[in-house]
Amino acid sequence: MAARRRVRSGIQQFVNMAARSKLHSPAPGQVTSTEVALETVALSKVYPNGRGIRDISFSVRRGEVFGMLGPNGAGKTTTIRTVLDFIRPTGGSATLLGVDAQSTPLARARVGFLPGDLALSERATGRDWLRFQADLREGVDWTYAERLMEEIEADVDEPLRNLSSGNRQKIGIVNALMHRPELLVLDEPTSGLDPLIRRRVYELLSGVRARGGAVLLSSHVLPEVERICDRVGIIRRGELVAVETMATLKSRAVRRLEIGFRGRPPVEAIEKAQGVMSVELDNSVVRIAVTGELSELLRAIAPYEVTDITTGAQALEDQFMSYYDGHEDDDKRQGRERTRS
Amino acid sequence: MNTALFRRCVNDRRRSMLWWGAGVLLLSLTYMLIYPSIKEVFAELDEFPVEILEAFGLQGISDLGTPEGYLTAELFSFTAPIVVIVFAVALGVSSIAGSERSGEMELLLANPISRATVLTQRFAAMLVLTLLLGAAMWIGLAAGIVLDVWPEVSHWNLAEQVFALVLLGWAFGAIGLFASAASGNSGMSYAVVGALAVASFVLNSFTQIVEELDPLKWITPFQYYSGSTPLADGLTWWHPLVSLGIAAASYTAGRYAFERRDLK
Repeated sequence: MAARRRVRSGIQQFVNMAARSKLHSPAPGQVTSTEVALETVALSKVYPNGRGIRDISFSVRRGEVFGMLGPNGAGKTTTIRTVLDFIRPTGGSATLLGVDAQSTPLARARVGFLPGDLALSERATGRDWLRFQADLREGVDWTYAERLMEEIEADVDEPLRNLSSGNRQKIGIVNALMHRPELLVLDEPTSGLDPLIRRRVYELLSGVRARGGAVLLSSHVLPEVERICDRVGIIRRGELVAVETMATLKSRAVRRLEIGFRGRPPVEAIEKAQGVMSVELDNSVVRIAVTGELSELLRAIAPYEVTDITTGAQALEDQFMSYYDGHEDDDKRQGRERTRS
Repeated sequence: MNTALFRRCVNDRRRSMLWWGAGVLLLSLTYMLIYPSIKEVFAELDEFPVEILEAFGLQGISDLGTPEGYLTAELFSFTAPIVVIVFAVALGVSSIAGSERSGEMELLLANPISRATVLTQRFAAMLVLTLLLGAAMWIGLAAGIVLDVWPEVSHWNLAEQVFALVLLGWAFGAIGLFASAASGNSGMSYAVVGALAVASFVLNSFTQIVEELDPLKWITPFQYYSGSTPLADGLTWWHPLVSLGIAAASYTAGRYAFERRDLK
């Protein structure tokens, strides 16, 4: 009797536990395993010459576009190739949709991939090649594939080797998307595309996100990342130096402004404004590097006679580099604060 | 089983297969057409010392004046092996390393198929296409029997001879596949397999002249092709098994290596 009661209370406990875990949804930001589409844990691929990637850990959730940002040679493509098991890690692991990337090719069943340099140099037409890829995958809805081809105006009747790189890229994008993957891995997806098609591709990616798919894309084009990514991982010399939400990244981005004044520029007022990192005086013009919002800076210069404002037309490289030299900038700012006080 | 990869591999080579097949067929027909006029000259070759004939790879031919002797000496001891080996090795090497260089391999392997599948289906395509090339040669030579140019040649022996040739192609094609699967470098694979084929041929010829080298003949894949004259005497039953063994071992080793290395 006592034993039975114990058993029952055990079951009750289990039921309670299950109920609790259902009720208590994870705190925002906390990721449960079913939400994660792609995860790397201390993923490393170190080549004998010392290059490669080290201890890369990040996850891409369902319903999220994750951007990998970094200059050429930083390790973006190496990360992607390791994640997809094209090259084998020297340490750590990668999980695709809950399956270890190395364990079975089926891990790639619901994954779409676009390589960085799409070298399709075949005699076959785009349509034939896509048909073949669809046959390999099995279960591709061909009417959907054809709709994709139309949507991004892919030239599928021309032999692949006659196509320009942009047109080849379109074939690659259809190939990555046609089986409605739950996880997309795209290496520089919009390189070579004209702005109109680029926008369509962004829309397609938003569609993937909207239906709960996950996207990992690499890029060194900041506006692209800014436009479609929810979170960004910054890769520098083979290491993931930061993972930030887009909002944080934007607030940290450095803008360069040139402001012309009638009379002597109010350098000190400008220096005091929030976010101002450096001020350079050139006669009646000041060159300013500023992060975050501009309102304080604008308030600071409002009382003065401003003749001209130019924003360093897309100083994207600078914005980008601010992340790379993040520590240096911090040091600089601290140094300035010290001299000020 | 999804055979899309195999089918495409064969399909892609339809056009080049047509040219190769036509070329080999014409080659065979040419040998047939010049035979009547060369018959007498060849009969006189029988007067040469046997060592000289052996140095030219014309060993073990009892009678050069016969069509079997003529075909073995002129076609099957040198020209035909070169053609078939070049064909098969090109297929074997391009299957893996060629595909990696073009970037095609990553696009294939982004699908839920294993590296072993890619290797196996392309290996199968190499076997089938080489067999088709052999068939083209067989048709050209069998025409000689049908048209009474060499009525004394046995259909069965001719088929065995061509089959032995195909097996030689399979063995070297598989070695090419292994080299490219292990290295991912097509240039190097061609060089290594080419050197291996030449060395194997030369060593095999030498072992017939230099008695001390004789035991070495067993290590050359050529021995299991030219060690007997199927056209005259039929195949030595276990020679095909060794050729098949070389192909199977190369395939297995290639698969092992390819599954473990990084893509280039």
